[in-house]
Amino acid sequence: MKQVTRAIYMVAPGEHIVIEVVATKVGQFARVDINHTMLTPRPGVTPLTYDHTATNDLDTDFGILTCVFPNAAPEDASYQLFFIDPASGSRFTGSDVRKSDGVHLRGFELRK
Amino acid sequence: MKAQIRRSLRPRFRRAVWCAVALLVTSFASPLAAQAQQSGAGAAALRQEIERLDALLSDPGRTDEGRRQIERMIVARKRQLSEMRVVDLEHILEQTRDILTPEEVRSLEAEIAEAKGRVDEMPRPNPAPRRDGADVQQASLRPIVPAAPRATGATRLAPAPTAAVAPPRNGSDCFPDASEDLKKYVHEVAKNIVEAEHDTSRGTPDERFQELFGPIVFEAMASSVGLKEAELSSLARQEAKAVGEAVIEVGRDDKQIGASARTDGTTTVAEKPGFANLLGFAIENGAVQQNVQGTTLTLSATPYSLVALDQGDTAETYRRYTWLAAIGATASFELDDANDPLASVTRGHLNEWTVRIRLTPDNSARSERAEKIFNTYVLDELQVGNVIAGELRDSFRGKAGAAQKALVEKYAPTAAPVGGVVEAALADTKAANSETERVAQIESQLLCELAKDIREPIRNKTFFVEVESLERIRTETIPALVRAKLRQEEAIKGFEKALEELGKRPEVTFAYTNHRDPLGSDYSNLRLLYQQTLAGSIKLVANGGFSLYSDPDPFKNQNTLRDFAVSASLEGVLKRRIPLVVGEDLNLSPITYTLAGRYQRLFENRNIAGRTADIGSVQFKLEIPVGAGMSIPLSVTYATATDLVKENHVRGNFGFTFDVDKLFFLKKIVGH
Repeated sequence: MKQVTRAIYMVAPGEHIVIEVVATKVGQFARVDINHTMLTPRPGVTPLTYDHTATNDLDTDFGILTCVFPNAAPEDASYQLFFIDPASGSRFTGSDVRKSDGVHLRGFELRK
Repeated sequence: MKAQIRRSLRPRFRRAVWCAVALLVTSFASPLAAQAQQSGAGAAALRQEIERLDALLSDPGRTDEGRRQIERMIVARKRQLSEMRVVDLEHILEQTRDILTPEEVRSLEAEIAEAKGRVDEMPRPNPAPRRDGADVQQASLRPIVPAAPRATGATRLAPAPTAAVAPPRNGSDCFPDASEDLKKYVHEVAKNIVEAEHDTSRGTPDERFQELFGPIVFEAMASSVGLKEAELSSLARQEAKAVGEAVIEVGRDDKQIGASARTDGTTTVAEKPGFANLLGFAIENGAVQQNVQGTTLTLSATPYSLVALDQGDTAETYRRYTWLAAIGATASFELDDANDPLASVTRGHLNEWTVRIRLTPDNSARSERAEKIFNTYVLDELQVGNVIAGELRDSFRGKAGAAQKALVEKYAPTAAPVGGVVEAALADTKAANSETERVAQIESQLLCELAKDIREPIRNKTFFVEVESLERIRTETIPALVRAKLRQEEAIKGFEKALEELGKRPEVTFAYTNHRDPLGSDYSNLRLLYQQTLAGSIKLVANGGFSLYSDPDPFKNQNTLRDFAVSASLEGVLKRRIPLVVGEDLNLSPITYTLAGRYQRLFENRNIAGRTADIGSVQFKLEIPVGAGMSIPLSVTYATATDLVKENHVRGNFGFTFDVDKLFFLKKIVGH
């Protein structure tokens, strides 16, 4: 896995990657979808940690992170995306979402 | 006779002929004269206009965009003048060729050729744009050169225009059927790229664009095939409402949930069990049941806040150290100097310190219970991202995928130093009068570019996504998206209500306070505090406890058991809110009111003349927010006696409360 930019990554078809969503000053109210699938986080693990296997064709996998901020959360509450290559141990910093942002979703691409 | 008549008619005939010739010459000459007169007048008018425009151009307050506009107008008029000169010279040549010498003809012809050459060198003015709303002909704002194709062989899009640019148009004109979400995404990205121009801690401008480009492209495609009309469906709204109501019910269910959330507390007659998570302090003036009045500085914190300072206040830290968040500590100091309160934070000034432990489960918005509600009832309803990601995957396959990558490169190239639409938008709008204006200009530019790259090609059936995909978007994806948006919105509203219901559950805290009395004996107070939110958001707070002397003084009639006390209060919120001084939109804090009653049995006052062991009081208090994280508590108290005097009285108190967290946050925002 290689990071091109914070929102674009190069992966090999069938490659296993790990996605983390770290919540700060807010509960874990987030969801990750890749293509047509909602990812299920590893049970009992904090932060939210998702395993994803890139599809085997050469088309791009498109992902969306959706976040919810309760009214009680402070304005500087945030969620931060991380992309991890378990094979090499590399950890890449992705996009972040703050409560003060006007849009609470972020897209990312896993290009082959 | 005939000869006589002929001789008499000759002069009249000659006169008539000459009159006719004169008339003919005049009528022939007048168009020329009129034309000369007209063109002279037209040229004069043009020269006057150029002079006026030159004067406007020299205004130092002119923006760059204004200057460009004026220069375009001047160029257009100068060209017109040159064209008129060519026409004039050609006419003169035509009308005088037979009387000019060959040398004069050659000289005039050379002058005409030179004038024509000068006209050809001048730029042509752009045609006026059509304004019929359905079709848009928008010239690029500046010549945009697409990035060089990547090694993957991504194809370029339309070639960059080379003509002079037209003035920017309003985004709504370019993309009249843009969905609300498309406009929202584009506005957000415009804001983000302006922010990123100076602060790349959250990504470069291109990256801030890329992270929303997928949703933007999706919404642009959907808008172009009818999303806006579909969003007005009422059936979908009814279905969505039921989702929200189901989530709210979960928050109300006693069996599932249990205790309520913590709230921040202040010191009143009936002490509230809540406490601040992070450091804060309060300054109060006056005591309730004592004769001596003093100024008190109170500091409060939790052990969790110290850990969070070190490890970050993340969900992981909170989950691991939730038990520390259940513990709170406060310390109150006698203030020497109100202007420098922290100078009094010494052991010698310490009045009392308190440790509190929450005995009921955590029911805050960060609790496991809150996450359980979210995961069970809300998570599945957040389908918008799923619809977007799925459709992007389906639409951008094969060649369409390569074209999509090229589109990303056009707007926000992944490899510097080539710039794209984002960089061009930032450069074009540098002269904006304010950041708000700049964001609006960028928003318009981006919408117009999207209209050119997505909306028009879809309508012209030249878009790179397959026709079958567009049909699927229209017939399947849009209905799914509309449903998903409505259900998601209602689910989030329901979640918010469920958290409110969670926070209304009873909360019980145990508190231990050590009182240091410089004039008497130190004593400890142990008490239980109970809080519950009743109907209409009124909070009930009840306290009960007793105090013990660490070293009772028998000469003062003291025993180990100093007193016991019970109190209760009702607290509400006035509907009127006051905007903070810093900014009206930042926070609207409500005025809170409290009605409290307290009874204390002070055993050392038994059988002492002039004193009573039974002390009761009733207090009414208002907490009025007055500024950034600041508020003033005002109270009026009636008491049957004080500790030392058996005499009823009425007393007024005021104080000043300062929330450090809120102030630091607001300072951070204002600083930007």
